[in-house]
Amino acid sequence: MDILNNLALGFATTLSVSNLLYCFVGALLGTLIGVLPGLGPVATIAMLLPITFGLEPVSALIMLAGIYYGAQYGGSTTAILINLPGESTSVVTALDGYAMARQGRAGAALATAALGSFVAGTIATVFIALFAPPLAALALQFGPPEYFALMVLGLIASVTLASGSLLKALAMIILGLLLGLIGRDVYTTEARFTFGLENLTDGLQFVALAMGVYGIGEIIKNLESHEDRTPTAAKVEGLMLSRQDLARITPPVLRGTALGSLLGILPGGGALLSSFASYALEKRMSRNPAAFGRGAIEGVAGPESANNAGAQSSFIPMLTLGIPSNPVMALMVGALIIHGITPGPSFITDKPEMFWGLVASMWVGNLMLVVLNLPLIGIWVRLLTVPYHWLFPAIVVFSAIGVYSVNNSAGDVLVMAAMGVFGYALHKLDCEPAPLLLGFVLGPMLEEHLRRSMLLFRGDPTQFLTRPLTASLLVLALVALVVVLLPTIGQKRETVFRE
Amino acid sequence: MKLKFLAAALLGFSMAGPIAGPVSAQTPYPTKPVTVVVPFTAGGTADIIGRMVAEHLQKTLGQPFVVENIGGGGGVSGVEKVVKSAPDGSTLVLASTSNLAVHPTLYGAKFPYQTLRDLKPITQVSVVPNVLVVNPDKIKARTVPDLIAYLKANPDKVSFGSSGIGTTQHLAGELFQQRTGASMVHIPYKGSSAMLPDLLAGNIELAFDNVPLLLPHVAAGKLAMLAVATPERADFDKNIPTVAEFVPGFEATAWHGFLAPAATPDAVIAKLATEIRAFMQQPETVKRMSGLGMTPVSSMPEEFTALIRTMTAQWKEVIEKGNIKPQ
Repeated sequence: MDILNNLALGFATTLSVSNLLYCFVGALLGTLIGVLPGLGPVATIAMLLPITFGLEPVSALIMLAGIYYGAQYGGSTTAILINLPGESTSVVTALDGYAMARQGRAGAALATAALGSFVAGTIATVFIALFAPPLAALALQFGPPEYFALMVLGLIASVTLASGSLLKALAMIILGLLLGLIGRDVYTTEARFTFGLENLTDGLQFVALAMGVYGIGEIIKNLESHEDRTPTAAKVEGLMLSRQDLARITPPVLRGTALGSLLGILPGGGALLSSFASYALEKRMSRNPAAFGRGAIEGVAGPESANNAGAQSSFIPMLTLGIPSNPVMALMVGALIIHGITPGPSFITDKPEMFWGLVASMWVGNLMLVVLNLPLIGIWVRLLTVPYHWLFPAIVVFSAIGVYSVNNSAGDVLVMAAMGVFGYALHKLDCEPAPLLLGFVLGPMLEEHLRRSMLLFRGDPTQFLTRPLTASLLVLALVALVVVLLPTIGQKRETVFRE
Repeated sequence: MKLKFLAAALLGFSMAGPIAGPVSAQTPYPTKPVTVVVPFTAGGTADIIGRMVAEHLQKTLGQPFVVENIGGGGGVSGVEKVVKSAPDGSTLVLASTSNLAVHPTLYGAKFPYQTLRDLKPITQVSVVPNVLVVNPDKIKARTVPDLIAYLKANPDKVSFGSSGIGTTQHLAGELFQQRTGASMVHIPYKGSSAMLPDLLAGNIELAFDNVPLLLPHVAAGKLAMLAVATPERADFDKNIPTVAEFVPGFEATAWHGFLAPAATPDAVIAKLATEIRAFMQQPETVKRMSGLGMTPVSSMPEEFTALIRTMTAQWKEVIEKGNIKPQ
């Protein structure tokens, strides 16, 4: 009954006229910046931060949270329509979402993303309401050795992201790992692979890399093919999902939600892993894995749900431990601290109206997003009927602005341009960029946690096996490795990895 | 050689500034929009101070003061941009201890700037105290002398975390070891918030860190706060002793301040110093700053210069003794 009282308190806070307004403003702003490629929630929230000084703390938090999950919604739009993932989580959405769009099913892909996100958001809200404090304790069970083991598992699973040659997928992962090592080493401050260029001392920006390899590479590819894109887009089939589609997406949405909710509570990159993990899982579960990467609706439904659930549950470590799991959360902590409120173990008991108000506002905000986004789908899809020679310069310009805005760095724009050429080369070589990006994201974390574990173990690697959670994750990774390698041993390889 | 001559010429030119100043009664500054470079990503404490001050200057000086976040290379790119920009007060930087008193030593001869050669201090604006915390389940000591005794009895058994090589959190730990003869293993993280879970879970046992995020955990008994690393006891709790009470001369705080390119006219520096100092003393500013876990400071340009000089010398010694240099 406690939970009902708590939620009642939360809704009482959220449903005040002003808080509803802030929630709406946040969700709307989030959607808009999510749709603009590269312009992420971090820059937006940073700019809005001074405005929140004058607001009630709970209103400020509700609005900032709205921007955050709104951007998660918006980010998938460009990934699906023009193969331009502005955030790490939408890379996976681009895989099958864009393939669907090319088959004239952009509307269905967008609707899947919106509905999947809403269902995931709803379930994750209940999840947070019920289990926030015990989950925070679980998050603390993950030390450097556990994260290392998790990253190993993630990297092995990432092989399934590729639909082509296994060897090429492995090569892409390794290349991604190497790209991820560019920059200053955390443990020695030594600059690695920077060729003395100061722009590279912080490493490559994910946004620049992803938008270059996907978005710009895609443009070069399209310009080369002389194919008029308009006919493909013109045969836009029903914007809504058929009953058959709904039946197909329900299990992936639920599985994605569960994965996202769990991984999201790990502050060290859990939310990031969730969409990749969900994709790998769906491909494994599917009776027709060859369809993945070629417009499988499950490949949109699962990751999109996982990513939204992960975004919601990543609030748990912030609110209960004061540990922000990403830059956006760090900004929110900053906004709270300015009001003299520091999130920590006693936050829920000290400020129940804030905690439950925020939880309730997440659900309300998700509802607003669906109401906002479903009608917009028609408009977005019509965007595809714009002649390509008008569309692509706009995409390039917005991408450049977006990438520049992340760090105010012209160097990042150059990186994006170079990565565009690189992405085109990958296409010519028939290499898929998704494993590369996952390697890029996971590689540095893998290295950081491995070296930190070794420091903590004082150089004794056998201690990995003395920690039950680490040992189980490593065993799981071994099993996954065997599962990945099995088809290459038997005859089945062709059927799984080739069309 | 040519560069030196140019610098001397510019210096001479700038020294003419104050003489010319009083003639035109009010120095016409600013006459165009001013860029305030914050060499960190948006939203951190430094960024918040930067935006608060910029807003105030815009109001009182009548030109736009635009905050630009250039967060590359631990702040190097941002500071370097200011060093290379026109010395007319149109570009300022809000920099921290690491940028000003640590990096030029840490990264050696190839580093793109030397603080007091290339920049002119305007005023210090904040002190961010570091406190010494331990995981209470892993370390039984509750006083600094007990802790020192424990560390000396168990060399290299305890790990201390920091928010990265060359941060005040890291150097505080090094200074502590060098001054007490204790020996610990340093575990660097990418920022405090990445370190906190490991400290709470007991994977690492000890840290020097900024106050705000730690206080709720101290209140909940999940962390034990042994001492503050400021020279004086801190305002938030006068019962907490300073490390210096047991380890004489121990000081390891982070601070922020405004600077301009070295050749900026003194009249401009003085005008900015007056405005910023007035703002830092306003009750509303004081309240907001202490909410962020910082003590607002308003120092004269000479005082700020002296602070940079002293701290550069202190951290140089720690870096050299601890052999922390990457090259």
